[in-house]
Amino acid sequence: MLDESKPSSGGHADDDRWLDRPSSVNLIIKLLILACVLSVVADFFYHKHGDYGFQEWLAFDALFGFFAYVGLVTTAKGVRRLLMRDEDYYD
Amino acid sequence: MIDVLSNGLPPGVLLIVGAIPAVLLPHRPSQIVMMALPLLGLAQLLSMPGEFSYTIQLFDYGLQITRIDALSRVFGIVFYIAAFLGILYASHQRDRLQAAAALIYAGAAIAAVFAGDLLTLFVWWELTAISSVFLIWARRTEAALAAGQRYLIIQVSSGLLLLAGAILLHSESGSLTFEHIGIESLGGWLIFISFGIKAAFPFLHGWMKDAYPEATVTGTVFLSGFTTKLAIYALARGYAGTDILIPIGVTMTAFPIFFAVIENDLRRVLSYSLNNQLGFMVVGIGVGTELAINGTVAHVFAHVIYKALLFMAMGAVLFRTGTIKASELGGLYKSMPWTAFFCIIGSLSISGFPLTSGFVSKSMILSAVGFEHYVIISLVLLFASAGVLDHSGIKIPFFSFFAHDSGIRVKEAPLNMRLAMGIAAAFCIGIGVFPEPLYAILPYPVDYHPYSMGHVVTMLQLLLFAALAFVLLWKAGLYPAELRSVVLDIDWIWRRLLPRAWAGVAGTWMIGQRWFLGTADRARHGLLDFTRAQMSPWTRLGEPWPTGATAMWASVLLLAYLLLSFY
Repeated sequence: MLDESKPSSGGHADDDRWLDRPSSVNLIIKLLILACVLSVVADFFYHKHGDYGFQEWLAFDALFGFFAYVGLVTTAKGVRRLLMRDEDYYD
Repeated sequence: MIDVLSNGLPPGVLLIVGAIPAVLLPHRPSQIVMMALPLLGLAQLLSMPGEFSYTIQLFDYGLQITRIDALSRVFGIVFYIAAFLGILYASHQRDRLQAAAALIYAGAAIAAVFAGDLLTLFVWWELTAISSVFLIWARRTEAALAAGQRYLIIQVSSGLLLLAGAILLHSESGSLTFEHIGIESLGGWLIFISFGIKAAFPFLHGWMKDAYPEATVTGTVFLSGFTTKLAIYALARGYAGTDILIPIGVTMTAFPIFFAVIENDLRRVLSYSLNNQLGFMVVGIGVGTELAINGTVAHVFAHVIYKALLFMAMGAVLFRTGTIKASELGGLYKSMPWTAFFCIIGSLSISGFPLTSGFVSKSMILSAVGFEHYVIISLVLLFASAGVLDHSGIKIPFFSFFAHDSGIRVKEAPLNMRLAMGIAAAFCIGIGVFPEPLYAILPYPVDYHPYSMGHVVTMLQLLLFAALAFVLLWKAGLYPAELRSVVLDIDWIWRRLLPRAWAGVAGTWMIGQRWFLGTADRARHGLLDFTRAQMSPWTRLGEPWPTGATAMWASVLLLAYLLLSFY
């Protein structure tokens, strides 16, 4: 069952998939935004009680998730400046 | 002897013995035997009583070679599942070395979990190290050979620390039983560090991100399952409630994710991600309450399966395309749709989306930390959860299967790989939707309801908004591009700094030696030349002296001696 097919590049008949269209990608992003909005709206429909006071703030986890992510990626880019080397560094 | 064979053999030995027919039989029968072994082992384990132990007498020591209790049992179960998935995933492969190594490795890890004393644990501990390195070497590249050597040295050292600690503990207490150890004694510390190496504590973690990505396509799937989770088991047994584990674990959740964001080798990204997941477990062990230990064990169970699934998916990509670098991949969903689909399920699980296994296990740990009101720890764990979403939830599937179409077109993964991934994915969803069977086998009684409105909404907010942040950063071109590169980590110390420092010391020594020898040589030659110059027939000292002058100088010398002798 060894794989004998070689990876190939270039034009393909399947280059135009549904996901290849910008309109599809935009649709997915819109759905994601809708899901985000719904998850915040849900905060109004139950009694929030967290282990800590701040967890009861409206959309605390939403804001935390967003800024944690941005902070992580931005910091990692800084780390990259410090620690990134050529691919053959250890060779 | 017969009694041992029929009653006392620790679970796991079956796999080790089974390596013999598996290696000797032709390909197809051997694959059937290999796949049957973990299923038989699992059936044997489930048929045994919930509490069981078996002790053999070796010289003056009673060695408890088998100890089944609630904690060891659940690890045994998930290890057998992992072994089965790995064997199925590797069953297309005609490499007897790897097959034997994988069976012995999995068997040793299972037997280690059921070791009731430290000496028995040590034996299995070292066997996992020695057998697993062949899964790295079997890649048969120079990089794999070197990484395997580094891996073996570190793993074996961990075992030696365990042995030294066990001897110290035995001399203090006279007992080798593996129960709660604690860090009150030197022996306890040595064993703590031994476990810490295998659990990839901060600064002891370098071996994992170094070696795992160098192993074979199928080897990494096995490696991801056993070694580190054996260490988690050992920590839970010996160090539950040890406070220092909380800062250690929380560092493990946060530290590796920065590296995972910028790493290009996707199996290395998964290794960092593995390190981060271990952090959640180590925090749970440090908290040490019943809920925390239950959460840790549940997380191990869920994690072993979704992590194997992710490594299987990336392994399939590597197997088909020949590369696993994010900078060279993209668009593979077109040719590997099944692999992409299963990978996404693994990604959702590790991220902890509701209805997946990661959600029902990680929430327990988060709740356990919350109950104790460790506010900073809770916030870091939340931050780390957003980080998991980035590297394992988004980066892994996005850059391999979507992103920019790399133009690579390959065959879908072989059937056996798809089957293994499919079963693993089914576990991820199954545990997420019906957590009760998993909760039922946890060490302590469970009174926990993951699907409260609060848990679901807060987790969804965290993950969805983090995903939104990714979309915005990606659209704005601010997300770090995948670049052909290596990212330096702690292993730089022994891969670059120490060799260079050694070269420096050796070089300085050589230069010093050369200088010294050169100087000595010059001095010797100088003295010889000088003497020769003075004694040659053409110099003042060398020319023939008249007899009278000689007699006169001899008398002067003798007189000088005479005068000196008076004083």
